[in-house]
Amino acid sequence: MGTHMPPDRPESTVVHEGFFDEDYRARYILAVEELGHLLEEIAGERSLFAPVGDSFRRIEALESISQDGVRALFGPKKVFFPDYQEIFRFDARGRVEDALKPEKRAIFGARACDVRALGMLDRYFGEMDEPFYKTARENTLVVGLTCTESMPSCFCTQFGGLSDAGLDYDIWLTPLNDGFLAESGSEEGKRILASLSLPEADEEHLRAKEELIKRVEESMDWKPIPDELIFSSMRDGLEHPVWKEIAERCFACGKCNMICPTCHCYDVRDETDLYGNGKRVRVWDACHLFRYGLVAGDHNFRGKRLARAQYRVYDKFYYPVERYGRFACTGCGRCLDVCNADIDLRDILKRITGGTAHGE
Amino acid sequence: MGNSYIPSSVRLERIEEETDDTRTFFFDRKIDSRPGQFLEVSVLGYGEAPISINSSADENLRLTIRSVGNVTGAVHRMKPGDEMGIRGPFGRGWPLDEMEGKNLLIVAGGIGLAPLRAAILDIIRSRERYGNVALFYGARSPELIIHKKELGEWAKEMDVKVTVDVCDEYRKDICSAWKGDVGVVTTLFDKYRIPEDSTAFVCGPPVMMKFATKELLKRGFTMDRIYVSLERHMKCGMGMCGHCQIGGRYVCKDGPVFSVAEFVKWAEKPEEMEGVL
Repeated sequence: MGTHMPPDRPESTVVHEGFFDEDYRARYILAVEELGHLLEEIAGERSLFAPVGDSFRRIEALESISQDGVRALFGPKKVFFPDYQEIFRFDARGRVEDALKPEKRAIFGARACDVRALGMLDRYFGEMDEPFYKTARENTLVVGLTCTESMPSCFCTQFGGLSDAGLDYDIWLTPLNDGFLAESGSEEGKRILASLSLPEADEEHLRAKEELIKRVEESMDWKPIPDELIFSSMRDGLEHPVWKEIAERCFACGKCNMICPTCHCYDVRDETDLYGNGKRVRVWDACHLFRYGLVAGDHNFRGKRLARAQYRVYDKFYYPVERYGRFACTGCGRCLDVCNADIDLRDILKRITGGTAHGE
Repeated sequence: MGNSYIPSSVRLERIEEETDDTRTFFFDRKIDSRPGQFLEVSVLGYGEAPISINSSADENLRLTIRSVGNVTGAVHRMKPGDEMGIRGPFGRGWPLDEMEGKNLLIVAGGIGLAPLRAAILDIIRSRERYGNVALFYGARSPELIIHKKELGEWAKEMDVKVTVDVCDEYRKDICSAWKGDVGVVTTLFDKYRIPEDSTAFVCGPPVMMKFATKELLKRGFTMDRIYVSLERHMKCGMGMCGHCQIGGRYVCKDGPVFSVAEFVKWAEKPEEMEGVL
């Protein structure tokens, strides 16, 4: 406080690495039939969340976990940052009861894009120690899983790809022919894997992992654009015709905000019963929605759809680079999958950096 | 880890009428704030609203609040003795530390004088630390001037000029007693002497800040010598909920006070600067 220095990073310095500590690294081979043991070990003292159908859900029976080889439509964001979160309860006499209660949890089946997105949320919420996110993150074991296939909308190769290198997780599993390569990325992950008495992995397993990653990455229809070119094109591209074009198509429905693993805006509001007892809640909000920039007296600071459509893209590819030195997009392609207007971030990136649109 | 969303309680002691819809609320304790910072005011069952701090740190908390929404409406219905919640103070206020020995021009519009009051009091308390100081204040009409009594006291310590936008024969009831200037606040720039080489602190409605900045730039103020306080609907106050973001900055945490020179580097400019930069 007091110093008038904005958080500027005029140079484009995009980094992809996280907080990984090599001391926690141990590598084992986990047979397919051993996976159940690992999950039971993890779920023993924790609530387990994993993909069921299209989203991460609380797991009651291990059989319900999705066997897909690629990300779920909804990522694990909700486990750390629920769409509806009680902050505290109050009664009509003004007594307040804290709703911050830690729960031991684990997520299984998070993909590289999911965990990279968590790294971004760590920065957004970590800057001011947001209590609910921080509590959830500190109490949740993260088990990642390498993709064995890609989807048409995947373009994570722009942002670090399938590799777990530099991601912040506890255990990483990679499906290989004879089971899983199981790697630890934290003290807790190392302890859990060691407790299972597994055979150690060798160079050949690591090579098989690299080959799998290469195969899946090559199946994606995306040629990475230099990070610096994206940054400088955004900086100089505010007047680019692409913004007007997407604003004309955009329904301003906010679905891309909801599905995005790094979108983190929220509203704080009170809910009461007829007697005046109630709760203060934190609910997801979306910068695409009309009332997002509304202030008292009905003035709207982002009343134009163009301003909102443009803002979301800048808040993925430009502002986070200035503030945190990284893109807030992980190339998961979820916003492409849900968009009613077929707005494709890949087209925007290609157009703004001087290329042609996807499929042209 | 503590739950930083839970407000702490303050007790209302006294209420003073400022205008038809604006009152100043006096509370029972001091808070450690700097001029230009704001609080999240919390009324259980209604929610929270960001309100700038009207008091300086060495007097009990005061808030000047206009009744415009659910939360501010609920505050206006409170009576002395009632309690309400506050979180904060938040944000970066007026850069008074950097103003030592310098001349200052304070430009306020309407209720925009409220977030400047603490700065004015701090300047007066250490008057010898600053050079020439002028306060140019504009309100829409005489009955909408806030802090009326204090304006007279401040005039002993600095050059205070007050103008109203409109005052003519159609408003004889109110305007017959008005002896001050008539015209928007920027008309004062030509009528009176602006302290030489001064730095400007500007706070008011978006359109007022826009024209004030424009006119100051015309008169040779450089962008780094114009500071404005932006208004947005901060929901969290801590740089997370996203509602106050402009150009990747959080008004609640990086501001609300910014120098106009900072905006130049932003890809997206605040609406207040439309047509200025």
